Amino acid sequence: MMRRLILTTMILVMFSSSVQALALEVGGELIVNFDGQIKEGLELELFLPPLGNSEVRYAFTLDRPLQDLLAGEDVTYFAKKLYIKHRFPGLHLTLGRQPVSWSFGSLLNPVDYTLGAETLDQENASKYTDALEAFIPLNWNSSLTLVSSFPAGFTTDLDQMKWGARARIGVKGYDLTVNYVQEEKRTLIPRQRLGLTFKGDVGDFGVYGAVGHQFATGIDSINSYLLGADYSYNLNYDTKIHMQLEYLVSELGDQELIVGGIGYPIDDFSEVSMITTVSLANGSTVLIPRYQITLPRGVDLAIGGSFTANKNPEGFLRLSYPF
Amino acid sequence: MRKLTLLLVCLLTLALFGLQASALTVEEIIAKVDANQYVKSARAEAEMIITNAGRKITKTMVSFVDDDNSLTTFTNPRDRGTRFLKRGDDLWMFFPDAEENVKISGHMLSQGMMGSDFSYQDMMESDKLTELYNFTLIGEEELEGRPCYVLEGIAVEGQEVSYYRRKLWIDQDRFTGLKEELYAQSGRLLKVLNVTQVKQIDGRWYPVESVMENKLRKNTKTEFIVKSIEFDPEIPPGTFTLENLR
Repeated sequence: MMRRLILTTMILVMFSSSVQALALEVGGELIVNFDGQIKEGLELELFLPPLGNSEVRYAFTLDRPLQDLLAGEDVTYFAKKLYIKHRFPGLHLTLGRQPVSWSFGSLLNPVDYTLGAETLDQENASKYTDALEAFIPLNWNSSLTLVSSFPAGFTTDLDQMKWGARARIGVKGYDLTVNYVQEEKRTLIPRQRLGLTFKGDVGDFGVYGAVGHQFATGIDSINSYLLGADYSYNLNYDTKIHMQLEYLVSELGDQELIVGGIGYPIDDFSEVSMITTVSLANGSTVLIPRYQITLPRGVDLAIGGSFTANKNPEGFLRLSYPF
Repeated sequence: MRKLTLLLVCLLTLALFGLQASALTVEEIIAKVDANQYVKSARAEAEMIITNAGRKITKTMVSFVDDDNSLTTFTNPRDRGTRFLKRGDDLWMFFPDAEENVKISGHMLSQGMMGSDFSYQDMMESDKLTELYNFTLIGEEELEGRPCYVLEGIAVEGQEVSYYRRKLWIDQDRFTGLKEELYAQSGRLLKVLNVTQVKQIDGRWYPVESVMENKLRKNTKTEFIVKSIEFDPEIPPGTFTLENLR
Protein backbone atom coordinates (compact mmCIF):
# COMPACT_ATOMS: atom_id res chain seq x y z
CA MET A 1 0.00 0.00 0.00
CA MET A 2 2.73 2.42 1.04
CA ARG A 3 4.89 1.51 -1.94
CA ARG A 4 1.97 2.21 -4.24
CA LEU A 5 1.56 5.60 -2.58
CA ILE A 6 5.24 6.42 -3.07
CA LEU A 7 5.11 5.31 -6.68
CA THR A 8 2.04 7.50 -7.24
CA THR A 9 3.84 10.37 -5.53
CA MET A 10 6.91 10.03 -7.70
CA ILE A 11 4.81 9.87 -10.86
CA LEU A 12 2.98 13.00 -9.75
CA VAL A 13 6.26 14.81 -9.13
CA MET A 14 7.76 13.69 -12.44
CA PHE A 15 4.74 14.75 -14.41
CA SER A 16 3.85 17.81 -12.37
CA SER A 17 4.27 20.08 -15.38
CA SER A 18 1.73 18.14 -17.39
CA VAL A 19 -0.49 17.89 -14.33
CA GLN A 20 -0.43 21.67 -14.11
CA ALA A 21 -1.99 21.79 -17.55
CA LEU A 22 -5.04 20.12 -15.97
CA ALA A 23 -5.24 22.99 -13.44
CA LEU A 24 -3.97 20.69 -10.70
CA GLU A 25 -0.67 21.76 -9.23
CA VAL A 26 1.78 19.63 -7.33
CA GLY A 27 4.35 21.30 -5.12
CA GLY A 28 6.62 20.36 -2.32
CA GLU A 29 10.14 20.04 -1.08
CA LEU A 30 12.84 17.40 -1.24
CA ILE A 31 14.85 17.40 1.97
CA VAL A 32 18.08 15.80 3.12
CA ASN A 33 18.94 16.20 6.80
CA PHE A 34 22.21 15.28 8.39
CA ASP A 35 22.48 15.29 12.18
CA GLY A 36 24.80 12.38 12.72
CA GLN A 37 22.92 10.24 10.24
CA ILE A 38 21.41 11.01 6.86
CA LYS A 39 17.63 11.29 6.65
CA GLU A 40 15.89 12.13 3.41
CA GLY A 41 12.33 13.31 3.24
CA LEU A 42 9.69 14.46 0.83
CA GLU A 43 6.93 16.96 1.41
CA LEU A 44 4.19 17.06 -1.15
CA GLU A 45 1.07 19.12 -1.57
CA LEU A 46 -1.62 18.82 -4.19
CA PHE A 47 -3.21 22.11 -5.13
CA LEU A 48 -6.60 21.16 -6.43
CA PRO A 49 -8.67 23.81 -8.19
CA PRO A 50 -11.60 25.05 -6.04
CA LEU A 51 -15.05 23.79 -6.89
CA GLY A 52 -17.29 26.80 -6.44
CA ASN A 53 -16.95 27.81 -2.80
CA SER A 54 -15.43 24.48 -1.81
CA GLU A 55 -11.80 23.42 -1.82
CA VAL A 56 -9.92 20.25 -0.96
CA ARG A 57 -6.32 20.36 0.30
CA TYR A 58 -3.99 17.41 0.59
CA ALA A 59 -0.41 17.63 1.90
CA PHE A 60 1.76 14.93 3.37
CA THR A 61 5.31 14.09 4.33
CA LEU A 62 7.32 10.93 3.79
CA ASP A 63 10.25 10.33 6.13
CA ARG A 64 13.25 8.40 4.84
CA PRO A 65 11.29 6.91 1.89
CA LEU A 66 14.34 5.74 -0.06
CA GLN A 67 16.14 4.22 2.91
CA ASP A 68 13.01 2.44 4.09
CA LEU A 69 12.17 1.18 0.61
CA LEU A 70 15.70 -0.15 0.15
CA ALA A 71 15.48 -1.85 3.54
CA GLY A 72 12.11 -3.35 2.59
CA GLU A 73 10.34 -1.47 5.38
CA ASP A 74 7.18 0.62 5.39
CA VAL A 75 7.70 4.31 4.88
CA THR A 76 6.61 6.75 7.56
CA TYR A 77 3.74 8.72 6.10
CA PHE A 78 2.13 11.67 7.81
CA ALA A 79 -0.82 13.59 6.41
CA LYS A 80 -0.42 17.25 7.27
CA LYS A 81 -3.55 18.35 5.46
CA LEU A 82 -6.45 16.39 4.10
CA TYR A 83 -9.51 18.51 4.44
CA ILE A 84 -12.48 19.98 2.70
CA LYS A 85 -13.37 23.63 3.21
CA HIS A 86 -16.61 25.26 2.22
CA ARG A 87 -17.09 29.00 2.32
CA PHE A 88 -20.71 29.79 3.15
CA PRO A 89 -21.59 33.49 3.28
CA GLY A 90 -20.39 34.56 6.73
CA LEU A 91 -19.17 31.09 7.72
CA HIS A 92 -16.26 28.92 6.58
CA LEU A 93 -16.34 25.28 7.59
CA THR A 94 -13.21 23.11 7.40
CA LEU A 95 -13.41 19.38 8.08
CA GLY A 96 -10.52 16.93 8.19
CA ARG A 97 -6.78 16.96 8.99
CA GLN A 98 -5.73 20.60 9.16
CA PRO A 99 -3.27 22.90 10.91
CA VAL A 100 -4.80 24.65 13.90
CA SER A 101 -2.35 27.38 14.75
CA TRP A 102 -3.06 30.43 16.86
CA SER A 103 0.24 32.19 16.24
CA PHE A 104 0.52 35.92 16.70
CA GLY A 105 4.15 36.53 15.72
CA SER A 106 6.00 35.39 18.85
CA LEU A 107 8.82 32.84 19.15
CA LEU A 108 7.06 31.22 22.12
CA ASN A 109 3.32 30.93 22.42
CA PRO A 110 1.91 29.93 25.81
CA VAL A 111 -1.69 30.21 24.57
CA ASP A 112 -1.59 28.33 21.27
CA TYR A 113 -4.31 25.79 20.54
CA THR A 114 -1.66 23.10 20.89
CA LEU A 115 0.88 24.04 23.53
CA GLY A 116 4.61 23.78 22.85
CA ALA A 117 7.26 26.29 21.91
CA GLU A 118 7.60 26.68 18.20
CA THR A 119 8.71 29.28 15.75
CA LEU A 120 6.51 30.21 12.86
CA ASP A 121 8.66 28.69 10.18
CA GLN A 122 9.34 25.43 11.98
CA GLU A 123 7.59 22.21 11.34
CA ASN A 124 5.59 20.95 14.25
CA ALA A 125 3.47 17.90 13.63
CA SER A 126 1.30 18.53 16.69
CA LYS A 127 -0.46 21.48 15.10
CA TYR A 128 -1.87 19.25 12.36
CA THR A 129 -4.96 17.69 13.84
CA ASP A 130 -8.23 16.05 12.81
CA ALA A 131 -10.77 18.77 13.40
CA LEU A 132 -13.88 20.64 12.43
CA GLU A 133 -13.31 24.37 12.30
CA ALA A 134 -15.92 27.10 11.91
CA PHE A 135 -14.58 30.52 10.99
CA ILE A 136 -17.00 33.43 11.29
CA PRO A 137 -15.72 36.76 9.95
CA LEU A 138 -17.10 39.81 11.76
CA ASN A 139 -15.39 42.60 9.83
CA TRP A 140 -12.16 42.91 7.82
CA ASN A 141 -9.87 42.19 10.79
CA SER A 142 -12.17 40.63 13.37
CA SER A 143 -13.46 37.09 13.51
CA LEU A 144 -14.61 34.23 15.68
CA THR A 145 -13.14 30.74 15.26
CA LEU A 146 -14.62 27.62 16.82
CA VAL A 147 -12.67 24.36 16.74
CA SER A 148 -13.53 20.84 17.74
CA SER A 149 -10.65 18.40 17.31
CA PHE A 150 -10.15 14.71 17.82
CA PRO A 151 -6.68 13.98 19.26
CA ALA A 152 -7.50 10.26 19.58
CA GLY A 153 -9.25 10.00 16.21
CA PHE A 154 -12.82 10.77 15.22
CA THR A 155 -15.25 10.03 18.03
CA THR A 156 -18.59 11.14 19.41
CA ASP A 157 -17.34 10.79 22.97
CA LEU A 158 -17.21 14.39 24.21
CA ASP A 159 -14.52 13.52 26.81
CA GLN A 160 -12.13 12.49 24.06
CA MET A 161 -12.65 15.66 22.09
CA LYS A 162 -10.78 18.93 22.41
CA TRP A 163 -12.61 22.25 22.05
CA GLY A 164 -11.47 25.74 21.32
CA ALA A 165 -12.79 29.20 20.57
CA ARG A 166 -10.84 32.23 19.49
CA ALA A 167 -12.05 35.78 18.98
CA ARG A 168 -9.79 38.13 17.02
CA ILE A 169 -10.40 41.86 17.14
CA GLY A 170 -8.53 44.70 15.48
CA VAL A 171 -8.45 47.87 17.56
CA LYS A 172 -6.53 50.97 16.44
CA GLY A 173 -3.75 49.02 14.74
CA TYR A 174 -3.55 46.39 17.49
CA ASP A 175 -4.38 42.74 16.91
CA LEU A 176 -6.11 41.40 20.02
CA THR A 177 -7.18 37.82 20.55
CA VAL A 178 -9.06 36.04 23.31
CA ASN A 179 -9.16 32.27 23.30
CA TYR A 180 -10.47 29.36 25.28
CA VAL A 181 -9.39 25.71 25.07
CA GLN A 182 -10.78 22.63 26.77
CA GLU A 183 -8.39 19.72 26.44
CA GLU A 184 -9.50 16.10 26.15
CA LYS A 185 -10.17 14.41 29.49
CA ARG A 186 -7.04 12.24 29.54
CA THR A 187 -4.72 15.25 29.38
CA LEU A 188 -2.14 15.67 32.14
CA ILE A 189 -2.39 19.44 32.31
CA PRO A 190 -5.40 21.39 33.63
CA ARG A 191 -8.18 20.81 31.13
CA GLN A 192 -9.28 24.37 30.59
CA ARG A 193 -7.28 27.32 29.40
CA LEU A 194 -8.01 30.99 28.82
CA GLY A 195 -5.64 33.09 26.75
CA LEU A 196 -5.20 36.69 25.74
CA THR A 197 -2.74 38.06 23.17
CA PHE A 198 -1.94 41.46 21.72
CA LYS A 199 0.35 42.67 18.94
CA GLY A 200 0.97 46.15 17.63
CA ASP A 201 3.52 48.91 17.20
CA VAL A 202 4.94 51.39 19.68
CA GLY A 203 7.07 53.80 17.70
CA ASP A 204 9.61 51.78 15.70
CA PHE A 205 9.14 48.69 17.86
CA GLY A 206 6.75 45.83 17.33
CA VAL A 207 5.38 44.82 20.73
CA TYR A 208 3.33 41.82 21.73
CA GLY A 209 2.35 39.77 24.71
CA ALA A 210 0.16 37.00 26.04
CA VAL A 211 -1.47 35.90 29.28
CA GLY A 212 -2.55 32.33 29.83
CA HIS A 213 -4.64 30.91 32.67
CA GLN A 214 -5.00 27.12 32.93
CA PHE A 215 -7.50 25.75 35.38
CA ALA A 216 -9.48 22.70 36.41
CA THR A 217 -11.60 21.81 39.38
CA GLY A 218 -9.68 20.35 42.30
CA ILE A 219 -6.19 21.45 41.25
CA ASP A 220 -4.25 24.69 41.40
CA SER A 221 -4.50 26.90 38.37
CA ILE A 222 -1.44 27.72 36.30
CA ASN A 223 -0.64 31.13 34.87
CA SER A 224 1.72 32.10 32.06
CA TYR A 225 2.86 35.54 30.94
CA LEU A 226 4.77 36.52 27.82
CA LEU A 227 6.09 39.92 26.82
CA GLY A 228 8.04 40.50 23.64
CA ALA A 229 9.32 43.10 21.22
CA ASP A 230 10.92 43.13 17.80
CA TYR A 231 12.95 45.76 16.04
CA SER A 232 14.92 46.27 12.85
CA TYR A 233 18.24 48.06 13.19
CA ASN A 234 19.11 49.87 10.00
CA LEU A 235 22.74 49.24 9.13
CA ASN A 236 24.08 51.44 6.30
CA TYR A 237 20.53 52.34 5.14
CA ASP A 238 20.33 48.92 3.60
CA THR A 239 21.06 45.91 5.74
CA LYS A 240 18.45 45.43 8.41
CA ILE A 241 19.35 43.45 11.47
CA HIS A 242 16.15 41.95 12.79
CA MET A 243 15.94 41.44 16.55
CA GLN A 244 13.34 39.81 18.74
CA LEU A 245 13.36 39.47 22.52
CA GLU A 246 10.86 37.70 24.73
CA TYR A 247 10.36 37.07 28.40
CA LEU A 248 8.19 34.15 29.43
CA VAL A 249 7.23 33.17 32.92
CA SER A 250 5.03 30.15 33.36
CA GLU A 251 3.95 28.23 36.41
CA LEU A 252 3.74 25.18 34.16
CA GLY A 253 7.08 23.53 34.98
CA ASP A 254 8.20 26.71 36.79
CA GLN A 255 9.67 28.18 33.67
CA GLU A 256 11.24 31.61 33.49
CA LEU A 257 12.82 32.12 30.12
CA ILE A 258 14.41 34.89 28.15
CA VAL A 259 14.55 34.14 24.44
CA GLY A 260 16.31 36.33 21.96
CA GLY A 261 16.59 36.04 18.22
CA ILE A 262 18.79 38.02 15.86
CA GLY A 263 19.05 37.74 12.09
CA TYR A 264 21.56 39.37 9.78
CA PRO A 265 21.00 39.10 6.01
CA ILE A 266 24.43 38.81 4.40
CA ASP A 267 23.01 39.33 0.94
CA ASP A 268 19.86 38.50 -1.01
CA PHE A 269 20.65 34.79 -0.80
CA SER A 270 22.10 34.15 2.62
CA GLU A 271 21.51 34.95 6.26
CA VAL A 272 23.02 34.18 9.64
CA SER A 273 20.84 34.04 12.70
CA MET A 274 21.06 33.08 16.33
CA ILE A 275 18.42 32.13 18.85
CA THR A 276 19.44 32.20 22.50
CA THR A 277 17.36 30.78 25.31
CA VAL A 278 18.27 31.55 28.91
CA SER A 279 16.45 29.81 31.71
CA LEU A 280 16.42 32.06 34.75
CA ALA A 281 15.07 29.19 36.83
CA ASN A 282 18.15 26.96 36.47
CA GLY A 283 20.69 29.26 34.81
CA SER A 284 21.08 27.16 31.67
CA THR A 285 21.71 28.77 28.32
CA VAL A 286 21.15 27.32 24.87
CA LEU A 287 22.67 28.92 21.78
CA ILE A 288 21.25 27.94 18.39
CA PRO A 289 23.24 29.54 15.55
CA ARG A 290 22.14 29.01 11.97
CA TYR A 291 23.49 29.91 8.56
CA GLN A 292 21.37 29.52 5.49
CA ILE A 293 22.11 30.11 1.85
CA THR A 294 20.32 29.55 -1.42
CA LEU A 295 22.78 27.80 -3.71
CA PRO A 296 22.71 27.89 -7.51
CA ARG A 297 19.75 25.97 -9.02
CA GLY A 298 17.56 26.90 -6.09
CA VAL A 299 18.91 24.44 -3.52
CA ASP A 300 18.76 25.72 0.05
CA LEU A 301 21.50 24.86 2.50
CA ALA A 302 21.17 25.41 6.23
CA ILE A 303 23.89 24.67 8.76
CA GLY A 304 23.43 25.10 12.46
CA GLY A 305 23.80 23.69 15.87
CA SER A 306 22.69 23.72 19.44
CA PHE A 307 25.17 24.56 22.19
CA THR A 308 24.39 24.05 25.84
CA ALA A 309 26.83 24.27 28.77
CA ASN A 310 27.93 20.85 30.09
CA LYS A 311 26.38 19.07 27.11
CA ASN A 312 27.85 17.88 23.87
CA PRO A 313 27.04 20.30 21.07
CA GLU A 314 24.63 19.11 18.44
CA GLY A 315 24.93 20.12 14.82
CA PHE A 316 22.80 19.78 11.77
CA LEU A 317 22.98 20.27 8.04
CA ARG A 318 19.89 20.53 5.88
CA LEU A 319 19.63 20.57 2.11
CA SER A 320 16.27 21.23 0.56
CA TYR A 321 14.88 21.85 -2.87
CA PRO A 322 11.43 23.43 -3.17
CA PHE A 323 9.56 22.62 -6.40
CA MET B 1 8.23 87.01 -49.67
CA ARG B 2 5.34 84.53 -49.27
CA LYS B 3 7.85 81.73 -48.66
CA LEU B 4 9.61 83.80 -46.05
CA THR B 5 6.29 84.54 -44.32
CA LEU B 6 5.42 80.84 -44.33
CA LEU B 7 8.82 79.96 -42.93
CA LEU B 8 8.43 82.57 -40.18
CA VAL B 9 4.96 81.24 -39.31
CA CYS B 10 6.34 77.69 -39.14
CA LEU B 11 9.25 78.73 -36.95
CA LEU B 12 6.95 80.73 -34.71
CA THR B 13 4.58 77.78 -34.40
CA LEU B 14 7.45 75.45 -33.54
CA ALA B 15 8.81 77.96 -31.07
CA LEU B 16 5.39 78.35 -29.46
CA PHE B 17 4.97 74.60 -29.18
CA GLY B 18 8.46 74.35 -27.81
CA LEU B 19 7.74 77.08 -25.31
CA GLN B 20 4.46 75.39 -24.38
CA ALA B 21 6.23 72.09 -23.78
CA SER B 22 8.88 73.54 -21.51
CA ALA B 23 6.34 75.83 -19.87
CA LEU B 24 4.63 72.94 -18.14
CA THR B 25 4.76 73.38 -14.42
CA VAL B 26 6.09 70.64 -12.16
CA GLU B 27 2.57 70.03 -10.91
CA GLU B 28 1.35 69.57 -14.47
CA ILE B 29 4.19 67.17 -15.29
CA ILE B 30 3.59 65.10 -12.17
CA ALA B 31 -0.18 65.16 -12.77
CA LYS B 32 0.41 63.76 -16.27
CA VAL B 33 2.75 61.09 -14.86
CA ASP B 34 0.19 60.21 -12.19
CA ALA B 35 -2.49 59.95 -14.90
CA ASN B 36 -0.35 57.24 -16.50
CA GLN B 37 1.26 55.52 -13.56
CA TYR B 38 -0.93 56.11 -10.52
CA VAL B 39 -3.08 53.05 -10.12
CA LYS B 40 -6.34 53.53 -8.26
CA SER B 41 -7.36 49.95 -8.67
CA ALA B 42 -5.87 47.10 -10.67
CA ARG B 43 -5.26 43.40 -10.97
CA ALA B 44 -1.74 42.50 -12.05
CA GLU B 45 0.38 39.44 -12.63
CA ALA B 46 4.07 40.09 -12.20
CA GLU B 47 7.47 38.46 -11.99
CA MET B 48 10.39 39.51 -9.84
CA ILE B 49 13.87 38.25 -10.76
CA ILE B 50 16.46 38.74 -8.04
CA THR B 51 20.04 38.47 -9.28
CA ASN B 52 23.13 38.46 -7.13
CA ALA B 53 26.57 37.65 -8.50
CA GLY B 54 25.16 35.36 -11.17
CA ARG B 55 22.63 33.60 -8.94
CA LYS B 56 18.96 34.10 -9.69
CA ILE B 57 15.69 33.64 -7.88
CA THR B 58 12.42 34.19 -9.68
CA LYS B 59 9.26 35.04 -7.80
CA THR B 60 5.85 35.31 -9.42
CA MET B 61 2.81 36.96 -7.95
CA VAL B 62 -0.75 38.07 -8.48
CA SER B 63 -1.85 41.35 -6.93
CA PHE B 64 -5.06 43.28 -6.41
CA VAL B 65 -4.78 46.98 -5.61
CA ASP B 66 -7.53 49.35 -4.61
CA ASP B 67 -6.62 52.77 -3.23
CA ASP B 68 -4.65 52.18 -0.03
CA ASN B 69 -5.27 48.44 0.03
CA SER B 70 -3.47 45.62 -1.71
CA LEU B 71 -3.41 41.85 -1.67
CA THR B 72 -0.45 39.96 -3.13
CA THR B 73 -0.26 36.19 -3.54
CA PHE B 74 3.05 34.55 -4.43
CA THR B 75 2.76 31.70 -6.93
CA ASN B 76 6.36 30.50 -7.45
CA PRO B 77 7.26 27.12 -5.85
CA ARG B 78 9.44 28.48 -3.03
CA ASP B 79 6.81 30.93 -1.77
CA ARG B 80 3.64 29.36 -3.15
CA GLY B 81 0.61 30.48 -1.14
CA THR B 82 2.41 33.20 0.86
CA ARG B 83 0.18 36.25 0.87
CA PHE B 84 0.46 39.84 2.00
CA LEU B 85 -2.47 42.07 2.81
CA LYS B 86 -1.97 45.77 3.24
CA ARG B 87 -4.76 47.89 4.64
CA GLY B 88 -3.57 51.46 5.06
CA ASP B 89 -0.46 51.17 7.23
CA ASP B 90 -1.35 47.67 8.45
CA LEU B 91 0.53 44.75 6.93
CA TRP B 92 -0.58 41.15 7.39
CA MET B 93 1.07 37.97 6.19
CA PHE B 94 -0.47 34.56 5.58
CA PHE B 95 1.82 31.63 6.36
CA PRO B 96 0.66 28.80 4.09
CA ASP B 97 2.12 25.95 6.14
CA ALA B 98 0.36 26.93 9.37
CA GLU B 99 -2.49 28.56 7.44
CA GLU B 100 -2.40 31.45 9.86
CA ASN B 101 -2.65 35.23 9.46
CA VAL B 102 -0.04 37.18 11.41
CA LYS B 103 0.23 40.94 11.75
CA ILE B 104 3.65 42.17 10.65
CA SER B 105 5.39 44.86 12.71
CA GLY B 106 5.52 48.29 11.08
CA HIS B 107 9.32 48.40 11.01
CA MET B 108 9.33 45.43 8.64
CA LEU B 109 7.82 47.62 5.91
CA SER B 110 11.22 49.03 5.03
CA GLN B 111 12.77 45.55 4.64
CA GLY B 112 13.43 44.07 1.20
CA MET B 113 10.27 42.26 0.12
CA MET B 114 10.88 38.52 -0.08
CA GLY B 115 14.64 39.11 -0.39
CA SER B 116 14.39 41.59 -3.26
CA ASP B 117 15.75 45.13 -3.73
CA PHE B 118 12.17 46.44 -3.52
CA SER B 119 11.02 47.13 0.01
CA TYR B 120 7.45 46.46 1.07
CA GLN B 121 7.04 50.23 0.96
CA ASP B 122 8.42 50.38 -2.61
CA MET B 123 5.83 47.83 -3.63
CA MET B 124 2.95 49.18 -1.62
CA GLU B 125 3.49 52.95 -1.58
CA SER B 126 0.10 53.77 -2.99
CA ASP B 127 -0.10 57.51 -2.32
CA LYS B 128 0.36 59.94 -5.16
CA LEU B 129 3.95 61.20 -5.34
CA THR B 130 2.79 64.83 -5.14
CA GLU B 131 1.28 64.09 -1.72
CA LEU B 132 4.59 62.71 -0.45
CA TYR B 133 7.22 64.96 -2.06
CA ASN B 134 7.77 68.60 -3.00
CA PHE B 135 9.05 68.51 -6.57
CA THR B 136 11.12 71.00 -8.55
CA LEU B 137 12.17 70.90 -12.19
CA ILE B 138 15.95 70.86 -12.21
CA GLY B 139 16.65 70.34 -15.90
CA GLU B 140 16.05 68.50 -19.12
CA GLU B 141 18.16 65.59 -20.39
CA GLU B 142 18.03 62.95 -23.06
CA LEU B 143 17.82 59.36 -21.86
CA GLU B 144 18.12 56.44 -24.26
CA GLY B 145 17.31 58.87 -27.09
CA ARG B 146 14.17 60.22 -25.39
CA PRO B 147 13.99 63.81 -24.12
CA CYS B 148 13.19 63.89 -20.42
CA TYR B 149 12.30 66.35 -17.70
CA VAL B 150 14.50 65.89 -14.66
CA LEU B 151 12.66 66.46 -11.39
CA GLU B 152 13.84 66.42 -7.83
CA GLY B 153 11.49 65.54 -5.00
CA ILE B 154 12.16 66.24 -1.33
CA ALA B 155 9.97 64.47 1.21
CA VAL B 156 7.14 66.55 2.61
CA GLU B 157 7.78 67.19 6.29
CA GLY B 158 5.84 64.76 8.45
CA GLN B 159 5.22 62.26 5.65
CA GLU B 160 6.52 58.73 6.19
CA VAL B 161 8.42 57.87 3.02
CA SER B 162 11.07 55.32 2.15
CA TYR B 163 13.52 57.85 0.66
CA TYR B 164 14.22 61.44 1.62
CA ARG B 165 15.05 62.59 -1.92
CA ARG B 166 14.25 61.18 -5.31
CA LYS B 167 15.40 62.30 -8.75
CA LEU B 168 13.16 61.40 -11.63
CA TRP B 169 13.61 61.37 -15.38
CA ILE B 170 10.21 61.85 -17.03
CA ASP B 171 9.67 61.07 -20.70
CA GLN B 172 8.52 64.40 -22.22
CA ASP B 173 6.37 62.68 -24.81
CA ARG B 174 4.75 59.82 -22.90
CA PHE B 175 4.92 61.22 -19.36
CA THR B 176 6.22 58.08 -17.74
CA GLY B 177 9.18 57.79 -15.42
CA LEU B 178 12.18 56.30 -17.21
CA LYS B 179 14.71 56.47 -14.43
CA GLU B 180 14.71 57.22 -10.75
CA GLU B 181 17.48 57.75 -8.23
CA LEU B 182 16.60 57.31 -4.57
CA TYR B 183 18.65 59.05 -1.90
CA ALA B 184 18.96 59.00 1.86
CA GLN B 185 18.79 62.26 3.84
CA SER B 186 22.59 62.18 4.07
CA GLY B 187 22.71 62.51 0.28
CA ARG B 188 23.84 58.94 -0.23
CA LEU B 189 22.51 57.23 -3.34
CA LEU B 190 20.61 54.13 -2.21
CA LYS B 191 18.86 52.72 -5.25
CA VAL B 192 18.52 53.34 -8.98
CA LEU B 193 15.44 52.28 -10.90
CA ASN B 194 15.65 52.02 -14.68
CA VAL B 195 12.49 51.45 -16.68
CA THR B 196 13.40 49.18 -19.58
CA GLN B 197 10.00 48.81 -21.24
CA VAL B 198 6.91 50.98 -21.40
CA LYS B 199 3.64 49.81 -22.97
CA GLN B 200 0.44 51.58 -23.87
CA ILE B 201 -2.34 49.80 -21.95
CA ASP B 202 -5.91 51.07 -21.99
CA GLY B 203 -4.76 54.40 -23.40
CA ARG B 204 -2.07 55.05 -20.78
CA TRP B 205 1.68 54.56 -21.01
CA TYR B 206 2.69 52.23 -18.24
CA PRO B 207 6.16 50.89 -17.26
CA VAL B 208 5.99 47.11 -17.56
CA GLU B 209 9.66 46.23 -17.12
CA SER B 210 12.05 47.86 -14.71
CA VAL B 211 15.29 47.08 -12.92
CA MET B 212 16.06 48.19 -9.39
CA GLU B 213 19.74 48.31 -8.46
CA ASN B 214 20.68 48.54 -4.83
CA LYS B 215 23.73 50.81 -4.79
CA LEU B 216 24.75 49.67 -1.32
CA ARG B 217 25.22 46.10 -2.47
CA LYS B 218 27.55 44.85 -5.16
CA ASN B 219 26.35 42.88 -8.19
CA THR B 220 22.74 42.82 -7.13
CA LYS B 221 19.61 43.84 -8.97
CA THR B 222 15.91 43.04 -9.03
CA GLU B 223 13.98 43.00 -12.28
CA PHE B 224 10.27 43.62 -12.01
CA ILE B 225 8.16 42.55 -14.96
CA VAL B 226 4.45 43.21 -15.18
CA LYS B 227 3.13 40.24 -17.16
CA SER B 228 -0.40 41.58 -17.34
CA ILE B 229 -2.35 44.40 -15.77
CA GLU B 230 -6.02 45.29 -15.80
CA PHE B 231 -6.92 48.79 -14.64
CA ASP B 232 -10.10 49.42 -12.65
CA PRO B 233 -11.22 45.79 -12.65
CA GLU B 234 -14.22 44.55 -10.75
CA ILE B 235 -12.71 43.55 -7.41
CA PRO B 236 -14.97 41.26 -5.38
CA PRO B 237 -16.14 42.72 -2.08
CA GLY B 238 -14.17 41.30 0.84
CA THR B 239 -10.94 40.96 -1.16
CA PHE B 240 -8.93 43.02 1.33
CA THR B 241 -9.93 41.18 4.49
CA LEU B 242 -8.28 38.65 6.79
CA GLU B 243 -11.12 36.31 5.87
CA ASN B 244 -9.91 36.33 2.27
CA LEU B 245 -6.23 36.24 3.26
CA ARG B 246 -6.51 32.79 4.84
